[in-house]
Amino acid sequence: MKIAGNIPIREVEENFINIQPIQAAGRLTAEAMKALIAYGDGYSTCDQCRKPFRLDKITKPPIAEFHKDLARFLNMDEARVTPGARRAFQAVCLALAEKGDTVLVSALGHYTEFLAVENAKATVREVPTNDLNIVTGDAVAQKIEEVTREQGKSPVLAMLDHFDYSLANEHDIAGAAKAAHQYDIPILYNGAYTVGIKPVDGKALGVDFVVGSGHKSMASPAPSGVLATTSGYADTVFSTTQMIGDVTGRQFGVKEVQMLGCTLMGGNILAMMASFPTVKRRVEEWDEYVTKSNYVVDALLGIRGNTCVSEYPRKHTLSKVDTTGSFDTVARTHKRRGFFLSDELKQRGIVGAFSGATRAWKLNTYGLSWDQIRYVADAFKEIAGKYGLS
Amino acid sequence: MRSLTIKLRLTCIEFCALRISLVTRYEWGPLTSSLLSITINNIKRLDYWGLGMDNAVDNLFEALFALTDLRVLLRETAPLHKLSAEQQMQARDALARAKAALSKLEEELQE
Repeated sequence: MKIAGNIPIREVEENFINIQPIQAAGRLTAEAMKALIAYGDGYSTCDQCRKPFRLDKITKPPIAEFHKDLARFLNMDEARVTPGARRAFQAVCLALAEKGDTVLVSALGHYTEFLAVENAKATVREVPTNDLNIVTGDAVAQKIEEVTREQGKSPVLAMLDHFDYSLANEHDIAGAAKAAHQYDIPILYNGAYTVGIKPVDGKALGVDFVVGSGHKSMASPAPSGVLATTSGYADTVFSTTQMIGDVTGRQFGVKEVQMLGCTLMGGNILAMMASFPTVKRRVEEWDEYVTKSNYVVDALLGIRGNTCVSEYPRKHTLSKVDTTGSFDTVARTHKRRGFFLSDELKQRGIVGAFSGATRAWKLNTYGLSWDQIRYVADAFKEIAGKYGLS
Repeated sequence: MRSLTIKLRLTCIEFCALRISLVTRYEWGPLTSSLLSITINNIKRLDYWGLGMDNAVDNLFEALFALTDLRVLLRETAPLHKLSAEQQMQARDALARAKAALSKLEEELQE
C-alpha cells in the first residue's frame, strides 16, 4: 500500500514487536495520532494566536497551560518546547558559551552535544567514565580543575546525560551537579532517555537545565523536545530580541532569540500535548518496565557466551549486549552471515535489532506488554536452540 | 442537536448584524451578549456558516479516531494479534463506533 507516489505506509509497529534502541519510547499514543490527524496542517496552532504572538502564550488550544505543566512535571520554573533535545542543547550553549569557552560533556555524551558546543564556537572537554562506565561527581570536579589549570578559567557549562545513549548506564547527575556548583558552573541534565519514561525532578537533582526529547521518550513525533530551566537562568536562555531594523525600525519584542521565535507550530506540539497525560502516568510505571527489561536481558544471558555490556542488573530498558560468543559463532558459517539473526527474529515478528550485527548490539524493550516481553525472550532462546547454542 | 442545527440556520454574519441592530436601537447589549454566550457554547455543533457540513466533519473525525484506537490495539498485540477478552471488546467497540460514524457520514453527504 502506498501513501502517495512511491511512499509506502509504515506498518512496522502494527505487524512487529520493535526493539529498535531509539524508537521504543517515541511511539505515539492513540491520542497523539488523533492530534496529528486533526492538527497536521502547517501552522495549525496559530488559529487563535493573539497578542503577544508567541507559541507559549497561545491559550486555544491550551499550549500556554502545557508549558506550565511541563515545567511542573520536571519541577523546574520555566519550560519551552523545542525541535528535539539537540535544539535545546544548542539554545543553552548559544546563551552561555562563546568563542574560547569550554563546555564539559560526558565521555559517553551524544554527538549533538558536541555539535551544540561547536555551534557556539566553544570547545568540548570530556569527563571520563570510571571502570564501570559511569560518570561520577568526582570525575566532574577533577575535569573542572584540570581545565581551569590549563586555561586559567573554568568551563562555562557542564552538559551530562543521566542515562547515556550508548550503554544506557546511570550516571551520578546529582553528584555532578553538586561538583559543578562548587565551581559556580551551571549544569544541563540531558534527559533524552529519561524525561517521559521515568520521573525526573530537576530541583531534587540540583540541575539548572533539564532537556528532554519528545520523539525519543515522550511519545511524540519528531522533532520535538523540551528545555526547562530555573527562574535564575530563564532570562538568559529565553532572552527576547533587542534588534531593531535600520530601515523599517521594526522590532519583534517578545520573540525569544535562542528559540528563534516560535518552535513547534503544528501537529508536533499538539501530539506532544495529547500524549502528555499518558506520559505523566507512565513515568510512575518505570520500575515495571525495568523489570521487563531485565527479564529479556536475563534470557539473553541464559545463552552461553552472551554478556551484558551495559551495567547489570539493568536500570534502563535500553541495553547493549554482546553475543560474540553465541550468535556470532553461527554467523561465521551461516550463508546469510550476520544477517541470520535479524532474519530469524523477523520470521518471528520481531524487528529493530541492527541487521547484520551479531557481536555487540542494542535493544530497547520499553512499552512492551508482559506477553510481548515473554515472546521476545522465548524467541532468543528458540533461535539459540535451533543453532545448537545452549 | 441535529434538529437544532436545522432550526438555527443563523449565520454568524446574520447574528452579528442582529446584535448590532439590537444594541444600537434598543440598547439590548446584555441580552445579546447572553445569547452570544449560549451560541458560543454550542458553536462547535452549530451550522453557523450554513454549509450543512459540521456533523459530517464530526463523524469523519469520529470514524478516523475509532480506527486509530483499533490501530493502537494492533500495535499492542503485535505480532500475533491474539486479543484477550478485554481487547476483543475494545476492538468490537472501536469497529462499532467507526461503522456508526461512517453510516452517519454517508447520510450527511447524501443530503
